[in-house]
Amino acid sequence: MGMGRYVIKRAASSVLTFFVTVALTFVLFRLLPGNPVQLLFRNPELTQAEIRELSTQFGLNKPLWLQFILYIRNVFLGNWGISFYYRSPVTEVLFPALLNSVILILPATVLAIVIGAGLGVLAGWKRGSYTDVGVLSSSLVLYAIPTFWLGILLIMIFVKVGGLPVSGMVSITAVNGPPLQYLVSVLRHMILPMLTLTLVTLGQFTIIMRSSIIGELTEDYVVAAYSKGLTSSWLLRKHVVPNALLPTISIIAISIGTVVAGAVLTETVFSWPGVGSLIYDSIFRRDYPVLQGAFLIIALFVIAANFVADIMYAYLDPRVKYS
Amino acid sequence: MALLEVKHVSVSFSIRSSQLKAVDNVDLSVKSGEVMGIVGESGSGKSTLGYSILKLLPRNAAIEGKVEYRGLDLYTLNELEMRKIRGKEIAMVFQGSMNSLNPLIKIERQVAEPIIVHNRLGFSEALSKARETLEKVGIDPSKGESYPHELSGGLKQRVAVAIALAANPSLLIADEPTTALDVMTQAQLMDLLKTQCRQHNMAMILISHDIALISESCDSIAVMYAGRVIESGPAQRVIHNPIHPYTRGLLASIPSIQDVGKHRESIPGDPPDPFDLPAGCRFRPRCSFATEACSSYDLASFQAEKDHFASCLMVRGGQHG
Repeated sequence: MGMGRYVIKRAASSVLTFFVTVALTFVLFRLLPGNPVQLLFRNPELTQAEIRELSTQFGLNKPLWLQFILYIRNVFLGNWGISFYYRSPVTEVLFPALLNSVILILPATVLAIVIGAGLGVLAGWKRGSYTDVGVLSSSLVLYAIPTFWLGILLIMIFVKVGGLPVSGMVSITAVNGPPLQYLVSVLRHMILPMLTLTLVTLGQFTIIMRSSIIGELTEDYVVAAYSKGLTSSWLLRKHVVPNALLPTISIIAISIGTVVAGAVLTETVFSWPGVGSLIYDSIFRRDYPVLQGAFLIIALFVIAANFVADIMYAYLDPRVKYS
Repeated sequence: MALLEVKHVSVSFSIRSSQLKAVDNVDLSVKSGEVMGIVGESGSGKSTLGYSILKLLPRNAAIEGKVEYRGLDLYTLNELEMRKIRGKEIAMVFQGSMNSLNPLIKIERQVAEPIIVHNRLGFSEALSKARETLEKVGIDPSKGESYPHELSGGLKQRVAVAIALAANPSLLIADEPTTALDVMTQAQLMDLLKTQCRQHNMAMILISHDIALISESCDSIAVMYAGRVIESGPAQRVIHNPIHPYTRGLLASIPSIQDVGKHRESIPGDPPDPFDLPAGCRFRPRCSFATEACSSYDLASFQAEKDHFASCLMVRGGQHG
C-alpha cells in the first residue's frame, strides 16, 4: 500500500472522527437545560400556540432521528444555525473570530514548539547538568502556571510600566487608519497574549522533547554511531534529534487540545476578539448555536492536527506500514 | 611493537551508592593483524573491556589503567583526538545489529558516515565508496537504499561490519558479532571477518561467550572470569593444554556431534556476585581443585609456557591435573 492510499485512509478516518464529534455535540446540546425557542426569543410571555408555531418553524417538532439527520446534513452543508444573540448565521459570527484566533494562536504555538523542543533537546543532551536542572525546573513551573494568572500578572505589570496595550486587538485610533498603522497596532496588541500563550504551552513541549531525547540516547545505535568517530553535533543533528522527534510529533498533536484551552483563557483575559472570547461570552449569553459551532471548529482543528501528525509520522518513519 | 596494549585496565560502575568493578586489572596485547579472542560468561566483563578501549562506556563508568594504541595512550587523548581514533583506527561491531543501526537512515548513508568524517570526502563520493564497501561484505549495492528493517538479521550484521570497515581501521573490536544469528549465517559472517582481517592486515579482538567459535577463529585467546583475565596465550596452547580449571571446564562443555546424547560436563555453581566477590581466586567457590591457599593468594598471573599465562596456583605449584 502506497503513501497516497495511506493519506486517503487517514483522511477517511479523520472524517469519521469528525462525524462522531458532530453526533456527540448533537446529544450534548440536547441535554442542556432550557427550551431553545424560549431561549431564542427571551420572552416569558410567549403563548403555547406561539411556541408550537415557532417550534414547527425551527423543525423542533420533528422526531429526534429526523432532527439528527437534518442536523448532520446542515453541519456538512455549512449551515450551522443562527446565533441567539447576534441573530445572524453562526458561520458569519464564527469566522471573523476564528481568523483573529489563528492570528494569535498559530505564531504562539509555532514559537512554543520551536523554543520548547529546542530547550528540550538542550536539556536532554546535557542531562544531569545545571543547564538541564534549570531548563527542566523552569519548564515545570511554566507548565504549572495557570494561564489566566500569568495573563493578569502581565496586565498588572504593563498597566504600571506602560508601553504595551493590555487589552483588545487594535486601538480605536488605528481602526480606520492606514493599513500600516493598523498592522502595527495589531502586532503591538498581540505581544502580551502571545507571550502568555507561548509561555504556558512551552513547558510541556520541553518536557516531552527532553524525555524523548534521553530515551534515544540510551539506544544502542547511538553508541554505535558514536563509535564511528562522529562529532557530537553530527550525532545530535542526524541521529538523536530526528529519531526523538518521532514520538514527539504525536504527543504534540494530542496537546493541540490543551493549546486551544489555553487560548480560550488567554483571549478572555486580554479581550482578544477570537473564538476563545466568543465561547466565553456565548456561555453567559446562552448562545448555544455559537457554542456548538465553536466546539465543532475546535474539534476540526484537533482532528486536523492529528491527521497532519499521522502523515508526518509516516513520511519520517520508514518503518510505518501503510495499513 | 604491539598494535594495542591494554595495561592494568580496571572499569568500575557507580550504581546508586556502591561501586561495581566490572573489569579488574586486565592486561592484553594485540599484534598487528592478529585475531585475539576474549571468551567468558555473561557478566565476566568482556564487553565492558571492549567498550573501554574506545571510551564508549556510560557516564557512571570510571576507567583506570592505560590503553596504548601504536604507543599512544588513548586515555590521555581529548575528545577531538579520540574521534580520530574511533572508526578510523579502531572500529567496532556491536552485538545485536538490529539495534546498532539507526532505523531511520538508509544503510548506504550509515556506511558513508565514517567515510565522510575520516576521509574528508564529499557526500556523493562517500556514498559511492560506501556502496563499494557494501559490496565487499557481500551486499548488493542496489540494496544500499534499504532501511535496516527491510534486511534480515544476517544482512544487518553485514552492514554493521561494512560500517566498521568503511574507514579501513587497523583494529576491529567485534563484540559478539554472531550471537543473534543462525549457524550458517554465523559461519559466513566469521569467514567474512577473517577474510577482511587477512586482506587488510587488520587486527581483531573477537569477544564471545562461545569458546568453540573463539577456538576456531583466533590466533590467541584470553579467558575472562569475574572481571579478570584468568588465562591467556596462543590459541593452540590454551585449547589443547588449558591450565586454569575454569578454561578446562569451558572447553569440556563444548558439545560435539559425536557425543550426542552423552552427558556434557558443566561447571557447577554460578559466577560470583560482582558486589560480593570472594577473596583470593574468584573461581575458588566453583573449583574442584581449590585448596586453603587459593583464598589468600594475591591476584597474579603465572607463566606456564612461553606467552601462556594463567592465574592459578597450580601453575606455580606445578601440580597439573
